[in-house]
Amino acid sequence: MSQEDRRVRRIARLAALDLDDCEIDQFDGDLSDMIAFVNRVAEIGLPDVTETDESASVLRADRVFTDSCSADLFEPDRLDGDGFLVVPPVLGEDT
Amino acid sequence: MISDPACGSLLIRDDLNAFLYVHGSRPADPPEPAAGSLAGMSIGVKDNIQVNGMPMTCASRMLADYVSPFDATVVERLRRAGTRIAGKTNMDEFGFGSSGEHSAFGPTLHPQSADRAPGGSSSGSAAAVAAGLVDAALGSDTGGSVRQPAALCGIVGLRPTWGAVSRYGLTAFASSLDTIGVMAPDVACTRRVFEVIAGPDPMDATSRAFPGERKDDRPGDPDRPVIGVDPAVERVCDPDVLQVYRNVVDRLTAAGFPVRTIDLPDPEDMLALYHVIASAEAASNLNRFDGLRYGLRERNVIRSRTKGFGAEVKRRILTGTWCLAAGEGNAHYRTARRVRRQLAFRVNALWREVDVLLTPTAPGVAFRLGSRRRPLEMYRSDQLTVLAPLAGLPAMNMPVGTGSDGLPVGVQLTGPAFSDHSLMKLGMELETLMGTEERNG
Repeated sequence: MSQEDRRVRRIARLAALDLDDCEIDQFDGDLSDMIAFVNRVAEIGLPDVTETDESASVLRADRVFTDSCSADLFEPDRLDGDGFLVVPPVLGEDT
Repeated sequence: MISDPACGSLLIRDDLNAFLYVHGSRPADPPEPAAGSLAGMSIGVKDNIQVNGMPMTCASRMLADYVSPFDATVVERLRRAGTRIAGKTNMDEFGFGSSGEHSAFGPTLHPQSADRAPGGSSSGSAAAVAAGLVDAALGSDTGGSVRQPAALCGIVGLRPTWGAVSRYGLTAFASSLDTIGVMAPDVACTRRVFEVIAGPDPMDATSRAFPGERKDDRPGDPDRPVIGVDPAVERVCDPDVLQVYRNVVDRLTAAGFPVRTIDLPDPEDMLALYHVIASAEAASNLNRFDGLRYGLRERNVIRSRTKGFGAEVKRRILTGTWCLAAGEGNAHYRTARRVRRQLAFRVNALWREVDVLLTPTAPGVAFRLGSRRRPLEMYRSDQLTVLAPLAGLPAMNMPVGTGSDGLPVGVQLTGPAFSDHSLMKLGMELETLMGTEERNG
């Protein structure tokens, strides 16, 4: 059994497929072609990304409210002057 | 002949094998509503999108007996707008293919020539629209599956911005690339359907509302967008396609559109990048088909998958598993993800110079069934369409002419994210310029 055959059998096992010898022969060649083709990904010459995004997810602990209903959310003291619901800031909360 | 004796609302002569299921062919099918902004319009739905009560096979033996228990969001919105869901259209199995030949239920045939491929994977949707069996159709586009068959069949095919249309109810192929797109005879019809299905959906966390109009601080006429062309893409195209493409560029230039030369990434590089990412995601997504919860059930999971999947699906799963396997191709997968980010930055930088990219959609016209036996030959059909999905951009095929044998040729307009409406506006102008408005209308 060639090294390529062994590779296809191993990959098929990982993919939960049971290929017969005929399929192994067929996919062996196809997979080798694809591997040779996608190898060019390592050679793609795009410029490095110079702009980076420094933002990160800011998580807030889950809090369960048992003493309010949806109507409470729209009490006047929870709304700002424009009628928008006031919620605690998330981004930059710690600063 | 597939007819509708129960409802009398649809009669389809489907010599093309474009449909896998036609509404009304089962007595239990409910009648369709008739009021709304798209009232009376008949729509074909690709068979990887859920339509409540209809089978959804993804053109695979794996799902041959599966019946959808709910409507995809796009279908629900179309029903509310008064459309008639005509049925489920044939496709390459699970979306893996560019010819319509990889269906477990037989190939779709090209409406103009029965020995040619209509393209894929949305083969049945494209053939049904081109043959006039339906007014419009939904397809899905991961690497070009709406635009390439639209080009080969001579219709309009829109791949929306990633996130502009909900994918709830679409069978996942490669989640970071998948979109649901519209196929129709002309841009006006495409636009009407798109406006109904677009918009955020609480059932799909990746769906988004359209942001406001892009502020354009570049000088120039906003009604004459700057069109970017890359002469390098011409080397991958057949002479027939090139001739039509150059004619389009000449017409746009003569009509006063500024045309500027730009430098796009190499199409072969983009195709390789696409196949690493798409195959890896596909292998992961298709793990759910194990025969335990739904689908073909054999003695064990391995036998269910082996018997249920066709050859092209197995090939893609093997490639994807190789890309994700430690000690095999997982270094490529990590590299591909990095290169994809670099690509998005590079393409977004182009929008400082141009408003729209113009390329051919497919390198050639509809090819003969069975003529592309080697997988890589087939995959190269998509080398001009993979850029938009990799960068999350909208792109649209426009039918603009025919080759020497009378088969359709299309060009592709690609724009910045959420420029879908601008693309369609330019598409309408292109229809007028090329005289295709009258032909299609």
